[in-house]
Amino acid sequence: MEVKTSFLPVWVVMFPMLMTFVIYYVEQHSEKMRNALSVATAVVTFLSVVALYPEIVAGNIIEYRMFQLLPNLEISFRVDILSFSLAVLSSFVWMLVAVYSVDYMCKEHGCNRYYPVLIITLASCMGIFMAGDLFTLFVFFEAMSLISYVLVVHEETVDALKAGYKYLIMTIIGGLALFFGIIITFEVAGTVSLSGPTLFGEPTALGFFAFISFLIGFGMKAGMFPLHVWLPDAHPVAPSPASALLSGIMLKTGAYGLLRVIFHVFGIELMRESGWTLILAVIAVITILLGSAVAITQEDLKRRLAYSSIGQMGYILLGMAILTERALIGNIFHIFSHAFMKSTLFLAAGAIILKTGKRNIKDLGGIGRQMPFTMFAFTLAALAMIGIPPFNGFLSKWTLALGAMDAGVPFYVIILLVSSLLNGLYYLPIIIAAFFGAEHGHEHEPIKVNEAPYKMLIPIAILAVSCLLFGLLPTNLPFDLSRVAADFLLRGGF
Amino acid sequence: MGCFVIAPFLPKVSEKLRRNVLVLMLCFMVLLAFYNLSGAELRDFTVLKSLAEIGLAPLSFTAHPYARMAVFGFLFVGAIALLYGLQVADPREQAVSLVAVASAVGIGFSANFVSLFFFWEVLTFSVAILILLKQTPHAINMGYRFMIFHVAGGLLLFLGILQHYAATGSFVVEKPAAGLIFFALAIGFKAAFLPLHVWVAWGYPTASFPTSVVLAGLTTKIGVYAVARILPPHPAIALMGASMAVFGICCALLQKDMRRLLSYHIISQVGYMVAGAGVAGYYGIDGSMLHVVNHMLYKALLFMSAGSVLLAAGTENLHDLGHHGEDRHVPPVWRGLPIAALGALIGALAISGVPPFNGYVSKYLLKKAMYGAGPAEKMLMFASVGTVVSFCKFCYFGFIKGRAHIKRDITFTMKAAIILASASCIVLGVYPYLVKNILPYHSKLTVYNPAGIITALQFLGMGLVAFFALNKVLERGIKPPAWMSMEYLFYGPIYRTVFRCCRIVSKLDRDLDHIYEMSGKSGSILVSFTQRFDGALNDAYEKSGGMARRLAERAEQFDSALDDAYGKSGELAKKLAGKAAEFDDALDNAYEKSGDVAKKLAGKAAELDGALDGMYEKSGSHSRSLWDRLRGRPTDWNIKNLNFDSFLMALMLGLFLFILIYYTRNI
Repeated sequence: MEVKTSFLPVWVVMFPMLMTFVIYYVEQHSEKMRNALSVATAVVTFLSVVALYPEIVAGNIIEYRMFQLLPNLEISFRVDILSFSLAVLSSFVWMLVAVYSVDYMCKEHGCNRYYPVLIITLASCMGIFMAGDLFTLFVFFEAMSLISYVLVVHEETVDALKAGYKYLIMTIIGGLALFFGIIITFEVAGTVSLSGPTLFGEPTALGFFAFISFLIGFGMKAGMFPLHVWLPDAHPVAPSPASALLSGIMLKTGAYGLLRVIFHVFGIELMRESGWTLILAVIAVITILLGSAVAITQEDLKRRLAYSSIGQMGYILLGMAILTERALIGNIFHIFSHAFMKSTLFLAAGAIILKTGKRNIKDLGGIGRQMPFTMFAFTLAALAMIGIPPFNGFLSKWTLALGAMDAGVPFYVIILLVSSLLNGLYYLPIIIAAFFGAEHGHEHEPIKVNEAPYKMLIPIAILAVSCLLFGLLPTNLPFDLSRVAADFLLRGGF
Repeated sequence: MGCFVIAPFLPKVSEKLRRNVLVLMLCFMVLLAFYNLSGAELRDFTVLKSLAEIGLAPLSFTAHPYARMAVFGFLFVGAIALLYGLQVADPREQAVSLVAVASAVGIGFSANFVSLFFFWEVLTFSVAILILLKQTPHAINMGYRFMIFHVAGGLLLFLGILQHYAATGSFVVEKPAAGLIFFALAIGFKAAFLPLHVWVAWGYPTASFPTSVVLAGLTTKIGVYAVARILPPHPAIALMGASMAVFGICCALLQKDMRRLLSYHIISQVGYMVAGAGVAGYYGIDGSMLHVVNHMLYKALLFMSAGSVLLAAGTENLHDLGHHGEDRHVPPVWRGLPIAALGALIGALAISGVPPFNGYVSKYLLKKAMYGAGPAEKMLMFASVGTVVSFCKFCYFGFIKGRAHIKRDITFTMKAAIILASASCIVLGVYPYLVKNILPYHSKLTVYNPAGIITALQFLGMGLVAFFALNKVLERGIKPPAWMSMEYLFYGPIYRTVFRCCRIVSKLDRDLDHIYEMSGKSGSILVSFTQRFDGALNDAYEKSGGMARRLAERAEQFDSALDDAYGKSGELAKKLAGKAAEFDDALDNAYEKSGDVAKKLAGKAAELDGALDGMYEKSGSHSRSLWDRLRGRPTDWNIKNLNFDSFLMALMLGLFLFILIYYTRNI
């Protein structure tokens, strides 16, 4: 294992950023070119991330230092196995969402605003995952959070603006908390680089403040319990491809940040000694139960999915709270699983909304026969959510549960299972009504097949099949990545 | 042995092709069943070895002795049931039925818990889909309940397996080392242990009739197999089985629907098997596993007969069938459907344990196993009598007394399936040695001895007597009050409680939202307070400005008064000192000049004061407009007027603080 210097991470971040301006220029002239360029940018970004694979899989770490802003504060990039895993996942989903957007957004207004924002958010997301120090992380984190405000309020309805306002306020609070945490870290350690040994030596009061600040800052993004209120408002009002990204990827940046904080800033020994993980555990349990329970009472399909996201993020937080090796594998693998599942669900919901305009769950009777393909994908992802064996959701739950058993806390397993049952309670009625029920008031009319266009179906299909493929089938790449990443983190992360 | 797992999904292919393929599949299944029956060597089989790398076990299959028996039943009876539905069932139902049978076989042959759990869930979902495929609102409701119920059971199994694995580190199917209670509950869901049995009556009578034949065999028998294979023998299990047997009979006697009656009988018969597995011993296991096969055969036969009545007469309600009374124009059912009636009779005799039918053989073994097992033994005897009574009811009201016009004839394959099943019932009864190769413990099958036969006939006699005594009551029917049902007592409240909890939590969530909103509002109130304070401060300045002006005015007055006074004093001096006029003039001029300077000074002070006043007023209005903007409604905060100057201010402030902290660090 060695540290190498390469320009590639910078390219991954800078390329979409530069392309944003190109797209902005091009879209003044041609819509088709704009769409093609957006998709091409996402594809090239994905391929560039994949190009890092040989180095990463050999166990190397890639670093690149850009310049110093202030003494000891620099913009630098660093790619290890965890960064790579999340970056490859994000750019993959982003690519599919970009393809999906082309047809979904064609009837929407303001596409000229949508596409550049989509691409620049990709850039800042890549920046978060590839950041080499907390300061760079913070810069890109804020950029992504603030810019995605534009995605949230895209519809410009009163609801969207209200949700966007809430999102903005929460984001600013989170950002300030994060800033506070970083300043404390800098004050104590004199550096915020993630490439060295852990920054805090012993659990001090100041350290505790820093931890809480980080928890607020990243937890806000991850939909953690008392700070989740923006999420169920913001995700449903955004256009569906954007909500797939918000829910599937951007929530994970919070989880990623927390992982970095736990392993690089504080270090695993410190976390275990100080018992701060208990705070995380309590919050995670509340988040899981709250998200799942509230989802049952929601009538709006996308709102239900948003609450479900809260519950699932609770699993990821729980994995971090348990901190055994298998829990950590399950945690990272669940980041993958949830990204696939929730993107599928949101994209399928988007296809339904686009084709039929139905958002209310009560109206979804018979939709499975009208849009068999879409609903089939939805079903796969929903079963994965419940944790039925051949799907990836089962594998992540299983690994997490084993981790909890390793830590000697079967209580967490019971929480996981209760939440699975609740998942069943809110997903199964949708599926059953969709395939076996009839549309309300039109019981005897034959249902015509009315599918979404291909460019939307293909991304949905790829994501849904990923749920199956990365479950119990051989050569499970995400699982291998998570295992190596967990091992890497537990070894100290450098 | 390769396993018969990959079932074709062929609902879409043409009718003829599908039938041919299905027949082929059926032959294959029967062949496999007999291959299995012959006791030939079955090799272990493993796929997906890579699963071991991710902390699970590969899907592997092995032919455990218990499994061979059960799998014979699944394959053979599954084939008969599919044959029965060949011409009448929905293509989708046939496809899913195949999956269901395959997953049952998969559970049977599973060598480790991973594959067991996988097929367990596949079975749950395929059976639920079979119920849902009827697509009536009732069926959808029941299918949904079934699914939730069994998903809950599956999660318990998950928990059990997890604990077992955490304790032993191995997935091999064996008696669990930990988490026994979860295994027992999970298996209890499938085997219809007493408070968990409600799904039997939800699912089986609701599905379409060819489907319910398939269903009747699968889920509960898997439960029995799992009890024998996984749960350690325990008197409590035997007692549970016995009480299931009695409870099932009591409920069955109350039913009007033929298939509901049969469903409760499943609970009762499964009770026998569970009891046998609970006491274990050679006879217990052998009897139990043999009873699995036998029961699947005759229960399928009975369901087929009931289904034929449903198809031909349009109803399966025993009271509706008896509705025609003694009306001679309507023929009794047995005349219209002789084959179905014969099937029902054979099935009834077999289930009652009358020699020479197959039920006798396994019940004999079970009786031998239960010998001396305390209350369970007595309960099973009572259940045997009850069985006879309820099947008298089934046959008598359904086929002899019931009258109906035959609206549709039953099809050829239905008849064939009924005949095949009847024949197998008799063959297995007369010649039980057929199964000796696959009996787990190779118990002696010399069951035809006088004592056994006499006991069986005694039960039959007692049952018949009881039936004729209760004839009138049974005809009228007994309707227990709704509050006695399990749904009412247990599951309804549980379900409602879950929902109520969810609603409470979501209310809490909304409250949290309100709290945030309130904090925002109180923040804005605070802001408006500061604004008012700011206004008051402004007023104060304004007032002080006014005061300063007044002060200045007074100073001016004073000044002019002084001037006057000096003027007067000048005049006075002129008058008083005439002599020194030159000096006096000069002095006077000097005084006048100083007066002018003072006047100018006063004017300048007034000007300055005016300017100060204006500045204060301006700054006041400036700060007011900033607050107005900050205080604006949320909807004003959109992308169009995102307040960049305030952002910049915040950023600058942050950077300033940051630099301050950074540089003060070194001090």
